[in-house]
Amino acid sequence: MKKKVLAALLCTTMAASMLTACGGEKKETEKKEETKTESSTEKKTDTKVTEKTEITFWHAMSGSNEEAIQKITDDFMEQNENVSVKLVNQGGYMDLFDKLMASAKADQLPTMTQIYSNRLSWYVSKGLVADLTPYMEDEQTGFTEEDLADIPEMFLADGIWDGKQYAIPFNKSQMVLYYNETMFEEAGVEVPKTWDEWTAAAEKLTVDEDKDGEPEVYGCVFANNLSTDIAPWLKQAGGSTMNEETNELYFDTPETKEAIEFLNGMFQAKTARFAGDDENANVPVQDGRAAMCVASTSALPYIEEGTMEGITINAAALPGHKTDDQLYYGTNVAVFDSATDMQKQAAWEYIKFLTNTENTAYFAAETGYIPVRVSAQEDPVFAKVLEEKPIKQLSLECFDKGFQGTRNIGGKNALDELGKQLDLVFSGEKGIDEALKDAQTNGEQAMKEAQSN
Amino acid sequence: MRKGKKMVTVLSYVILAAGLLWVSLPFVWMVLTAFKSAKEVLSMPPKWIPSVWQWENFKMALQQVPYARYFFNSVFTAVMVTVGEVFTTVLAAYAFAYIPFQFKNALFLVLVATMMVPGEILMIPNYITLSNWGWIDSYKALIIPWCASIFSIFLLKQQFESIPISYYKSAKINGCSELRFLFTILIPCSVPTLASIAILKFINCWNSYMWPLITTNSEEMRTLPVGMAAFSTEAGTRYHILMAFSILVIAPVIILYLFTQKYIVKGVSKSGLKG
Amino acid sequence: MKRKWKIRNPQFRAFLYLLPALSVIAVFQFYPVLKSFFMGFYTKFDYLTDTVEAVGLDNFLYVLKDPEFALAMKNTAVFAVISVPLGIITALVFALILNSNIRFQKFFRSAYFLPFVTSMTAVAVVWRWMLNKDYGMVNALLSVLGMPKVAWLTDAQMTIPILIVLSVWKGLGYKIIILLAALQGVDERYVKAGRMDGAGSFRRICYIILPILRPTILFLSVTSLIGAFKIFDEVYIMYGQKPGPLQSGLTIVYYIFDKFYRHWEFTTASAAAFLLFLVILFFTLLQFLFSSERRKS
Repeated sequence: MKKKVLAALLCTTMAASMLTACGGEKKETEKKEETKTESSTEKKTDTKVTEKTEITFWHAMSGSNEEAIQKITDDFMEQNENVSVKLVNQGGYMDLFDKLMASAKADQLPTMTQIYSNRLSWYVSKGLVADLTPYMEDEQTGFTEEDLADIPEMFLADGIWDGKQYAIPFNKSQMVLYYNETMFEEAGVEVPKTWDEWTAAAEKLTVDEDKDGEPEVYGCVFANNLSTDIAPWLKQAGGSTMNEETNELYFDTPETKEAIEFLNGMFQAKTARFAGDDENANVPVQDGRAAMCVASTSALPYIEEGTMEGITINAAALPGHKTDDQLYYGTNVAVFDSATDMQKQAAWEYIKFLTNTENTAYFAAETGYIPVRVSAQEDPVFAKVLEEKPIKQLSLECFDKGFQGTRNIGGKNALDELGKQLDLVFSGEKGIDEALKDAQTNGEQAMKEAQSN
Repeated sequence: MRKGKKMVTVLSYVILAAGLLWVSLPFVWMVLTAFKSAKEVLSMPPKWIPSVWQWENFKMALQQVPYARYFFNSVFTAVMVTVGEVFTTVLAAYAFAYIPFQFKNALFLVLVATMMVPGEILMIPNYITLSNWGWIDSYKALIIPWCASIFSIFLLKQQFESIPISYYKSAKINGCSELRFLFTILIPCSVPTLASIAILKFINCWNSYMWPLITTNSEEMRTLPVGMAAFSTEAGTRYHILMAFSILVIAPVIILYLFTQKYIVKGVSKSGLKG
Repeated sequence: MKRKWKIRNPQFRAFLYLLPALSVIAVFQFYPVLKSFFMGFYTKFDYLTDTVEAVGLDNFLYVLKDPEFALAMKNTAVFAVISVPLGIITALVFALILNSNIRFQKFFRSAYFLPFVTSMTAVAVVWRWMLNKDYGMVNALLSVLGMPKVAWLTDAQMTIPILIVLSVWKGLGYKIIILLAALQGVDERYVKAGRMDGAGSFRRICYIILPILRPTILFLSVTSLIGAFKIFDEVYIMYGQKPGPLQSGLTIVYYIFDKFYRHWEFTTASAAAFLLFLVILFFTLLQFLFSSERRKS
């Protein structure tokens, strides 16, 4: 008991000093070392899994992301001989969510999965998800106060429904503006901070040498499914996508219109385009066919791997407008209620391990994701990466402007309807007013349908 | 007149060659891409011939997914489905061809009507059936629903009926049992038809995508075409690796095809003559 | 001894012989046809417990009123109406050439058949890569000819033409083999007679060979038409699990798949599937009508 109080005290002071000042770093790392050795001795004893248990974890991580998960999982299994974790890669996110839905019907849900909260809300409403609160509050194997204080409020809240914690943040990332540094320097353009600067920069950086109306270099590239993550522009225009409490959609509002007009301006001027064939917005920036793109920080390892020689890519926060809201997204991990009690316990301990300071730092260092604990910045592995790659710092700096997407059941379906209309707008086939009106009607319909399922 | 004929011949060859080019270009592009380096794949304008033939791409493709496991699943399910279908087809075709039973015509009609139903309609209820039985993510789900084909039954029934009825009569007189007649006379006489049924089924099963995609969950159960999904990542597709893997997926079937063309051609042309 | 084991009742014997095939067909073909027919009428249906609370025509009405279903119908119909005749004519040209005194006949036939045995998954992936705007082979070829780049995969106007070319490409060999088989069945005497009457090869084809091929062509038209109405896999893979730019590749089966597997609306999906069945049934009946008329005349 005494030990626990001491540890709690230690950590709160640590967290407090970290938030207020940057000084005294050395002392803190020393302290941290202490807590770390302490926790590692605890690890061996802190388990309630008393018999051999197998848990299945469905994910959509590939490449370096998958390698990092695999390594952490192997470490976990080494320390917990009773638990064997079966990692199953289901392809991309879309494949994963399709599969989950099908397996819900087949009563074949895995023990746990990676999932976006706007998808998980349906499973929660159907009572298919295990409430992690009791595991989290468990004296022996749960989270301590300082653990809770260590995870950014925004991330934790994303996994709470009706006061119960159904999901724990795992791989979080931020939507950022990647840009080709050399092109900016050559054109003498500053990194845009506002919508107007952004429009101007895109125009300046677009190159159409042969004047055939099809630029060789586009100013900016957007993801193909822009509508799914349209929230930051609506927020920056003072609006939002929908109301999470009342399920009201805000597609046909002056704020949405302003945001769409802004985006459409770039598309119509041919200074911006969608990723199209390139599939991901970062690809054309990597080989010099575009100067900027909007993409997730999770693309970082792919950008590092795929960038052509002579091109330097940097990242900045999204340019703001009326507000400076920045979108954070990424999945959480959730455990399904169909698992046995022992599996749930094992899954909880695995999640706890997966997201502890050391491992979230490792995961963030190896991938483009953000650590889900503030203390990860102090972790020597991640601290070193932060020094080497300034892009990584960005997400940590923007936390206070950050928000996460809404989680309405059927919200994704409504956004898809908006997307269909926006595609018509951007391709010049439909006026904005009419499109938004239709998006509102169709979106409401789609949402209603999804909710009655 | 002669000159005109020569022109026609030349024109014929030109058309044939153009067709050949059109048919083979995607395959050529697939092979060329599979041997390029990552840089060459993304060069503008596209490079046709890889400067160094990158055999490592195949190695990388094999490392990225458990190819051996997928290959085994593909072979195993395709073989089992083929065996199962040939078995059910032989028996059913025999009944239709040689046993006079009530409602034969009615049953025949119902089967013909069922044959017209697009497979995609069956997917939904079949998925639900299998999940109620707890068959999802098992070999049973991949194999058993495909173990009978109305089309094959008709094809084989026609073949059986083309065998002179005198064989049947003399067998009966000699006290030969039905099963013996079936196995010692009918089947040996119908080997080419059976072979074409079997090979076409094998190829179809090998290539099927949607069904194994929705009915399998774990990596251990996936087949090769489904495994291709693993090559598109969140941040782009590495086409050279994907093409290398595609070659590994289609090569077994193409080799099978080259060796068994005779039967395939026979089976296909028969299906057409039926109309 | 043997006699003892023989089952005399032909009813029962036939039943035993048919049992393996029929049990599979009954469970996985008869039942689902009926089930999806009924599911189309469920208006309140719990997906997780399989309980039906209300029935009605709502799903059918919904689908028929849904502009997306109309779009899917339109896309599919346009695709079918162009790809079927085009596919048959192309195959006919090749079959006629191959049937004349040509060398390497077997070689050409084998080569043309290759796409047919290749998995659609692999084919669609390769085509997607070929049609890539910046790195694809097709635009590279065009630039050699001095033509500008085409945004094949992102231009909504290009979707149906691409799908048509792909389907002609994939089915060419299959149709050639069937037509060749029919051509080889053509009685040489007719052709010779035509030649003696002084008919040129073009006229011989039009007035002698084509009428004889009529049943085969009819068979091909109906089967390809049915196949064309079921187009899905190539769209799903080639357009990255989306129905093409601006939904230009939204086909009926894609619509069904989307409702069933993406939006979990089983009943709507079933209703749409049943409507597709009706369309296909219509064409099948048409074939029966044609072929019975042929037999009469």
